[in-house]
Amino acid sequence: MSILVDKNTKVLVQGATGKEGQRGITQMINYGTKVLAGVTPGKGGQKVEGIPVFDTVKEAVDKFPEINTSFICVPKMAAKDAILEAIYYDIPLINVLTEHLPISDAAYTVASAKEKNIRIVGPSSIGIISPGKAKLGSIGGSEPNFSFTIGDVGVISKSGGMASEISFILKKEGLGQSTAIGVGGDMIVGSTFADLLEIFEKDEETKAVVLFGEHGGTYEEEAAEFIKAKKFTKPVAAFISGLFAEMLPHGQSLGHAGAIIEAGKGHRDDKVRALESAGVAIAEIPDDLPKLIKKMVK
Amino acid sequence: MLKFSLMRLYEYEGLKLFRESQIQTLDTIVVSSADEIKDVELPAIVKAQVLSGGRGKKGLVKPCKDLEEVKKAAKEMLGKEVGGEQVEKVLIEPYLIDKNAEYYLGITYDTVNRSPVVLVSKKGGIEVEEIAKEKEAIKTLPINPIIGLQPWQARQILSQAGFSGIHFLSLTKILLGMWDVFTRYDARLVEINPLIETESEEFIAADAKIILDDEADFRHSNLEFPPRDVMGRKPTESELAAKEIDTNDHRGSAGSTYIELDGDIAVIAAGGGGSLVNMDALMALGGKPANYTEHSGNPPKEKLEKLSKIVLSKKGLSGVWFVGATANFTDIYETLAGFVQALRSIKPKPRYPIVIRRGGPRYEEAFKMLGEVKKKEGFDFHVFGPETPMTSTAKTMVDLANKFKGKR
Repeated sequence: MSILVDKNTKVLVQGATGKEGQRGITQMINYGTKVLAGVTPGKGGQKVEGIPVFDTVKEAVDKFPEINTSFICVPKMAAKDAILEAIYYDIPLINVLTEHLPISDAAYTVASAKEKNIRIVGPSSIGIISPGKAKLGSIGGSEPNFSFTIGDVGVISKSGGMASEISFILKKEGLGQSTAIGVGGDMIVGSTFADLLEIFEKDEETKAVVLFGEHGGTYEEEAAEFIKAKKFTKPVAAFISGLFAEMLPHGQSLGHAGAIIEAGKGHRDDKVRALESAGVAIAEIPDDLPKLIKKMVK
Repeated sequence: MLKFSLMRLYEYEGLKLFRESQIQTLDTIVVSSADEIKDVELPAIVKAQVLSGGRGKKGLVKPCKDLEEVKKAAKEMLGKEVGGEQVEKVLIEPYLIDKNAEYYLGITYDTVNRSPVVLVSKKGGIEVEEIAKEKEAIKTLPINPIIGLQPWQARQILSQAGFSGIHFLSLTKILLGMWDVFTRYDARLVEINPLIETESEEFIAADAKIILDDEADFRHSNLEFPPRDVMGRKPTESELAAKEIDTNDHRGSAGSTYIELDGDIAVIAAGGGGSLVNMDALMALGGKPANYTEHSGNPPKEKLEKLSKIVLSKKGLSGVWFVGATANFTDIYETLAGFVQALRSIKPKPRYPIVIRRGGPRYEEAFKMLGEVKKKEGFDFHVFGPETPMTSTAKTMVDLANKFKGKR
């Protein structure tokens, strides 16, 4: 098994004819992912890598009712609209690559998805890969096999580049991945560490999970609470970035109201302390992750 | 990733937005020179317009009883440098003597509920960090962004915070006004601290703290706020020069993010998240970075050459670390060729260790070129490919730099 993405994943690409869309489609098809249709308003009737492009999501799902995943790579100005369109047509998994989405659009679309029990991963997500089965988005670039291999460690990363780098470090030490997910580093995201730990808990194939966190926000603390409450019972190792960024003058949190909400949370130290108290092994540098995982998984 | 997406507004700019949304403020005047001050309501308060908080403690808020004092205070504040920020404007407002109480109202985003949240406290007028210590004195209410703040919700949270009677209706109106500013301008934060209650039970916003979400700039092309420095200090010459590189050439990015630091290990990193992890690793191992910069999106050779020249121009370096994850589409040959070109132009010739870790398109070709340059020109290259985790090379860099310093 694996989570979110596998052989049964049937993909719609919103923003199919753009640079990111075309690149994503090529990479996904090369990896064996089933890409059924694309949408770009005004470009209906075109094809990308032989995949039909429609003007609307409605046309795409009418033609391919088996679509169960949307990969969204439209410019930030159009992203809210595209996500809402996918939500309206009940596509259960929406992976948003779009970066620099306004926070109000992120909050709005995440709330809309929640009402219909739809899962959003992203924005600013590099994608999702279940090695040997399928990949969504740009994760692993054109050579996913370089960084990823079949295995039993789940990877959840706020940074896209680090999702690959950490998987590569694990692979070098003989640890493959069940599923690796770029959740995006934005303040408001559709899926947090805790949201995904919940699914990894049920996945028999996953024996342990590695987290890549960053300073800011409270998602690492939320994960620590989740683990403490025994809702996730498998070994977890984490690397939390922020040592350098917090040294910078603008590396501080929002201050002001942020200080009230995030009192005692948000800094790298707060996150490390919370995770350690939940039994998570913290790596000083990412290279230590395989060692920590091996120690915990007997 | 480092986020540069926030735009803090000055108090006078924030107050203007409050007035548009029918939130009562004082009659203020804003001047950039003491000579502009002619007639003010006395007694008055002079407040320096800076983006950082805690103005009271820094002597940037001064009550004055006559015009002479006002002019003197303004003169003292204008041009003053506070934490790298220069005071360009001061705001003058009447000093409220009939103050009854000071409250706190705020709206921001909350990662726990992943939604906007309204905050209300009867303990206003003090530093937010102080308010934060008394959790029970603050009431918070998450707001469903699809529905927006409703009047009944505003009344509910105000009631929970201990307000009643006549307060209710005026404060509800203010919260709704703040919500209007928050949504209309795509704000990350809208805060009134203090909200002053006068003896005649009027409510006046005596400060405005507003942070806008720069990512939403495409919806606000008509906003007229002058650009401001996000660093909290003036950019250095190198930082300005680095920024120029991207301004004039939009192929890939190299230089937009460049921060000068006081260490001795120059860094040319690739990729947003990964570059920060490398900086963390370098610092965890005791290395002192001379700068932080990041390039991505396949910038051409010339841009890397320009950026490298700026990085390498720093005096007293004991090492250079060219580091990045395995690139998806950045041409490694081009970027490293640009770096080598810059190395050649540095006088005296760099003798310090140069650690390179890179992978991606044309990296093998690039490494062959580096080998030849090393042999012919004698640079101390230590080259690692994708088979070596990038953060492992942080240790190599720190060790080599220490050895170099020992010899010097």
